[in-house]
Amino acid sequence: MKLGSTRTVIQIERNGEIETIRTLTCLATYEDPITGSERVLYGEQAAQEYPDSVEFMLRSGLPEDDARAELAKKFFNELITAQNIPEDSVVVYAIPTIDNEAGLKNLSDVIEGSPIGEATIRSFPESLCGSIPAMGDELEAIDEVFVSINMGSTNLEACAYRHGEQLAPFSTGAVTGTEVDRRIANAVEEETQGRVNIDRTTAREYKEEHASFVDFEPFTDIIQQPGGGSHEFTVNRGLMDPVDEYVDEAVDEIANNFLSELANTHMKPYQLALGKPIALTGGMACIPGITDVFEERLSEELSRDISVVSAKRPDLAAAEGAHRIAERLADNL
Amino acid sequence: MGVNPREYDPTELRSLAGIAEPEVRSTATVKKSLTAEESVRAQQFKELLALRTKKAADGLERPYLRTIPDTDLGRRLLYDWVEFLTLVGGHAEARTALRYYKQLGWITPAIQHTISGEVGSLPEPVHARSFEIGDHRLSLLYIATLASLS
Repeated sequence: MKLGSTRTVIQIERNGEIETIRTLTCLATYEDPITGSERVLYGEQAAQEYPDSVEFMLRSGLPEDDARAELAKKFFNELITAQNIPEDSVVVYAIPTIDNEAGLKNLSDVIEGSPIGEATIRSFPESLCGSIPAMGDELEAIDEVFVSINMGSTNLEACAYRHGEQLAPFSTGAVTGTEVDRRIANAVEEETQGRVNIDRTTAREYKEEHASFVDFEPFTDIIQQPGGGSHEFTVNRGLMDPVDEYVDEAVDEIANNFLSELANTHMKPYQLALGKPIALTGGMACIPGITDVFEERLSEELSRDISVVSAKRPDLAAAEGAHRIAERLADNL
Repeated sequence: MGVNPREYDPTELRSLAGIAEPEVRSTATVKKSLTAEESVRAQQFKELLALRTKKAADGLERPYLRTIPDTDLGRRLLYDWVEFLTLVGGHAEARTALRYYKQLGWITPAIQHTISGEVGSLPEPVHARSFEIGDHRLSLLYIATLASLS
């Protein structure tokens, strides 16, 4: 299970088939007009029906305070019940590696308080789980020396792995998918001379549907005017300029912070890993062509040929990797 | 158990993946300054220079590595180097690199023969690649360090 700040993804085996559940990590509560009791909605339905009050409680990657921890607990229980996840299960969580003790403690309470995972619970870094499907069909990644980069909504994570052991873990909240969404919203406003204001959710939807380094085409959308009527507008550079900047900033962080640290502390793994494919995972890695662009720019920055790989579905990769580990754990029970 | 993803157990993970425990040797750290490539090169040159200076008194002649040091440290270092060569390029490329080092006068034919045999005892890597200049530089550092222990 990948508990992401934007999306939660679960891979579960049922009747010999692997099922993938993908939902927005959000929750909305409302009062039932008939009974007066509190009702809870989660995921896409909550985001669509209660756009004003919906809460993304893992917005920073972890539930930071008691209120968000409580929401996370409700979200988790709703999800488990709705998806009928069995209690007698082995659960492997893919979790971002963020230095936030309070947040981790809260998440730990949520996970340990949930009824699932009676058999076994484990958690691994998202960047490790995400690289497993990128590096092979099974658990080949654990036998490799390689670098993994997770381009998430709220964090850019990087880590070198040497036969499963993590080396020089790096994480920054300065280069994120959420920041790209904010910049898209501003850039669209600028591109339409202030006539169009979109929220971050719309900006994220534009990014997910239209951003591409391969075949981006300007697109049009329509907004309803406050005084009635509608306004049609075209988005062109407002979308790809922020995405382009993101890649430059990510390359800068990886080359000059993460890799410098790795080179200084672990010379042999650095030498080994840079000559091998770097695994790219996370929501931002889903943008068509970003792997090639990142590879090209990182090669240029480091003045050496770098190869970058990603799983077929980078947004599902962390859950897929976690599931492969869970399968082995279940076999060993 | 806690859920901190940084506290997972790599030994359990390797066991789940059916992978043998590697021998781990930590490398020394230097102060952060230059770019990644530059600082690695700087550190390697610094270590080579120190080894060369130490060896200069005894006369530095090719082939640099004539015997494998018969100590725990020497054997561990040798394993570390053989593992590095194999992980970079697999068995065939590692043996080609060793032949190249013999031609350069870095190692004796007997050492080339011995280490080529050791290469076969390690599994082939998932992703093999050709050797590049940085790999040879690191190999030279291994050779110089082994020679300093001999």
